[in-house]
Amino acid sequence: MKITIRPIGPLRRHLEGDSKSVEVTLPDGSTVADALALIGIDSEAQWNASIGGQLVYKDAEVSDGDDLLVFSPIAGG
Amino acid sequence: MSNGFMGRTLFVDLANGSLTEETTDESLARDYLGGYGVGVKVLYDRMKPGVDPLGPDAMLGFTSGPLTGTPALTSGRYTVVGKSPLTGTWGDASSGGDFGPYMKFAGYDFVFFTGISEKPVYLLLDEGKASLQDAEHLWGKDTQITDDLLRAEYGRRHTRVSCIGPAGEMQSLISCVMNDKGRAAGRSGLGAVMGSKKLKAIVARGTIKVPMHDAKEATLMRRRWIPRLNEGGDLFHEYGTAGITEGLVAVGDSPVKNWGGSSVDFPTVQNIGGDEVVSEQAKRYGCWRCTIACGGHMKAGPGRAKESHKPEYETLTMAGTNVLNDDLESIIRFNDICNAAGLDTISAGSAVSFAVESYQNEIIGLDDVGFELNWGDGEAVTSLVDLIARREGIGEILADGVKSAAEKLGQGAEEFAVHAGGQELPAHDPKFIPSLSVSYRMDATPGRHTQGGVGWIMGDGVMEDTRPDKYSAEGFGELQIKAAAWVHVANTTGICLFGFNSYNVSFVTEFLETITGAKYTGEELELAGERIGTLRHMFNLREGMNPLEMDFNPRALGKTPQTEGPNEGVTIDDDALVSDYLRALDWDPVTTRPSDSKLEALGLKQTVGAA
Repeated sequence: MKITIRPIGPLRRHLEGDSKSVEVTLPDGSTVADALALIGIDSEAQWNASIGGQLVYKDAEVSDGDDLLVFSPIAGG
Repeated sequence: MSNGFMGRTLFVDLANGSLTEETTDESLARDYLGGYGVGVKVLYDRMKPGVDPLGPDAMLGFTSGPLTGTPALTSGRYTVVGKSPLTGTWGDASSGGDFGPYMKFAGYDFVFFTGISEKPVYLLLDEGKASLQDAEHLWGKDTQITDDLLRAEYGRRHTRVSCIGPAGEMQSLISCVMNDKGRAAGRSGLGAVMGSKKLKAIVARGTIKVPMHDAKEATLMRRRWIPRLNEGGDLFHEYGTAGITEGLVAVGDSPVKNWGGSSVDFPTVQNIGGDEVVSEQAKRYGCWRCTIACGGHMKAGPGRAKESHKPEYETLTMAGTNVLNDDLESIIRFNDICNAAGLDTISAGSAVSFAVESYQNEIIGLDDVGFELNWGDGEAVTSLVDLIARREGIGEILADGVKSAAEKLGQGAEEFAVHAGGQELPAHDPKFIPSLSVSYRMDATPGRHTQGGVGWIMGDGVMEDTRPDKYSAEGFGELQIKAAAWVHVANTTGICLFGFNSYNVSFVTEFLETITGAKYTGEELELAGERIGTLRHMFNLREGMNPLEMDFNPRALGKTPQTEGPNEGVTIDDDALVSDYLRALDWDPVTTRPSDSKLEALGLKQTVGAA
């Protein structure tokens, strides 16, 4: 299956060049942590992720066509 | 006088034009740090309870902290204080930019006003001299023109201006005090207090250096600290607070559709996300001694202000997400209108979403508004805020905030008025950050997101939340006291909360010691923070305001749980959280009065007497 990963802010450094998103291919049953590992984001690092406006955790399974948003833990504003 | 302060406090009676100087009280600076800490002590001692906040007996203060205008990280803050005409409680509002430092370079730590001037005036603080000046020619002018005219007169390089716009002049209860054309002391409606006094502006011109215990070491310390910015600081550097909009909608922190919806209702949030905002930015800028530099000037464009500032997360949410508006251009214009008129973007945005929902429920109609009010209509958002800024048409009703508007409209409109104690809630949802259900009610300025909360803004290393989950009331109270106390320390010493949040908290103690020469332990600072928070609360009790009796819109607490989105099924047991907080504070569970022993421990017994 294929999903799109969209890091926000400093996490973009895990993408090449000025890319804002990347499409990755994963086997069925893969998790959020598996997907993020493909672009070098460690599952033990501090981050939040969401799919379709819902917060998801590292062990959540991803599905074909998902748009996975990942961002630093944030407070303020 | 202590290092870190200029040593001079000014009292201005606008009724007779008298200016009286006092030496800044060293013991006050020690016990109340500065900012609204010293501000609340002065107003508690010198302002009678029960005064009309827009009347002649009301006092209004402009306050700095011991770190304001020094090499300390992010030390550009000043705070306006008074009795809030919006809530009837203690009111304060803080702002960055450069005005605070220049107030000190002009020679003054604190300035307090009383009385009402016969005609419009401004206060000139000029290299250690103060005078009142005629402001007839400025009355009616917007904040950017006012700033331009005054800086042209006194020289741009060493002059900064804090002023009100037409909204403050017309005493809109959601008006603010503006400086540097795009920085706002936004909350508590203190622009209206300034307007009621016919005080258009304070002009600070000066080059006097802030006395420091060890100026050389302070500069070296700054250099050592700058690289230690954490990831949150990196995000703010890259995007400003606009960088958190998408993420906070996704996790359920942002209010959607006037707090009645969820992220599911706003799938196009990325149209107002950080990337889109930054693509419209011409140049980023920082406030005094800030390398985070979260501010930004926007590119020129049709309909935009001559100096258009980057919308903050709060503005993007209140004029965007919360009205399902993904038209970024309309939000930039909304921000421009608020900045020019001197309106708080949080309250103004909330007034817009309140009006849209009232329109959708036929409480107001086309005849009242003059145009349709539909969810997601960016043009309606800007048209409506323009009416609010001018107090015209429906704007006359909305310009005093949603509580007042709901009372005037009736017909059940209060359901759509999302406020705590009269102040519109900011864009952080207690269903996602449960401690804010307590902060919004129990801080002396209700409905504020800048007054601390467990798991919320705090310096790295303040504490670890050891509770089983974020909803748990067990042991909550002690943590909330600590969180609030440290935020009071940051706010009153003159540090920006974004700096506070972006470095280990020990920087505050280190800079305080190096700059003032006074040694503080972390425990002493926490105690000072609690003392400040408690005296602000005592101010409210003296005004007859018990926070437990305060209105608090149940939407923000999930009293009717949401049926979809990240906060689906969540109801905050705020009674349990508040109850544990009162226990830990040693405040009465019904009256909220601190125990005598608590007042004694905080050194407040003499100040509050038998109040």
